[in-house]
Amino acid sequence: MNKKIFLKACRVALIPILLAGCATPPPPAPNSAASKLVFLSDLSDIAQGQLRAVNVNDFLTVEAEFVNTSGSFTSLQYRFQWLDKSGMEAGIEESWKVLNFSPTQAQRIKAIATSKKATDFRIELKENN
Amino acid sequence: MSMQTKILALGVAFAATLAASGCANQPAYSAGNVQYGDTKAVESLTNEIGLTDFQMMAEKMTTSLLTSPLIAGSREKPTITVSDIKNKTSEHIDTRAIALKIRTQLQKSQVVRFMSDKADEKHALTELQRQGQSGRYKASKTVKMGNAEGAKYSLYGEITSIVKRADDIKNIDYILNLTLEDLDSSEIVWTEEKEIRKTSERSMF
Repeated sequence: MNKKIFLKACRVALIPILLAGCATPPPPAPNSAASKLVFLSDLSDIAQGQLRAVNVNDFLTVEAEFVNTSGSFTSLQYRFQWLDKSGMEAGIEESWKVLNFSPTQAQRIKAIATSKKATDFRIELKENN
Repeated sequence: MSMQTKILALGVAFAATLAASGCANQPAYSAGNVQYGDTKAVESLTNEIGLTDFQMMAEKMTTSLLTSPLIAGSREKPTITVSDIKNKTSEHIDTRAIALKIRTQLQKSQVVRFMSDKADEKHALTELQRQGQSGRYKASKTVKMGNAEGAKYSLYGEITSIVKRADDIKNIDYILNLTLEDLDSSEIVWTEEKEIRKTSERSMF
């Protein structure tokens, strides 16, 4: 009898865990715009806009747009990480920068890799506190 | 002593105790509370110029120069020497540190060559003198005078600031302006500026 109750309890406990697993969004497709963004904290008011990457003088140049979807002033911190063909960091480690938004404002950020070895990138984002 | 006077006296004593304990608990800056921080993090301890500003300035200048027509159109790597960055602010700023940061980033990009500047030359001349005059080195293995290559371009500029105060708010705008001059033709081949605004509010405590 006790065994039955225990198994039932396990099943009941497992259901929410399994459901939570199903609710987790799938990881972004490789090389998609979303796969280039690394959110280090919750930025629910910020939406991703267009993302462009081109080579200028053989240096990888990236322009990304972010939109403040809220009706209030907000800000975030960001920096680019430049990666070479093998996924290793290329060039100099960038410093964090602050990006301020007015209500519903869209902002563009542009960055250029300082090494010609950079072929890929990530944009790290976190809240500004 | 009336009741009001007693309450007032108690209040004063309580405030004095609080103030005294506050003073006693002031942490000493070297009392073992040391942590290593992230030098790439945004530092906003005061509104004076800091490492974050230096990094932002250097990044802007480096990326601008790397995508300039001067670099794109050159068959050979341009040779540059770093001249002065004048400090026209009221703060003490080590402008050579900004210049060296830019030089380091550009040098790592491997698309320009840097020739020694005034400060570097002092070291080079001392070393040449040591090699030539100490009598310790073979004449065939010492570095000869007269073989150095002069830079074609000179990098110089200035940093200025505008300070404004209103009530408890202080605003400082920093403007770094850099120029690259062709020393042959005296043509200005590249200029760039970086503006940084820092606003702070006087704390009540």
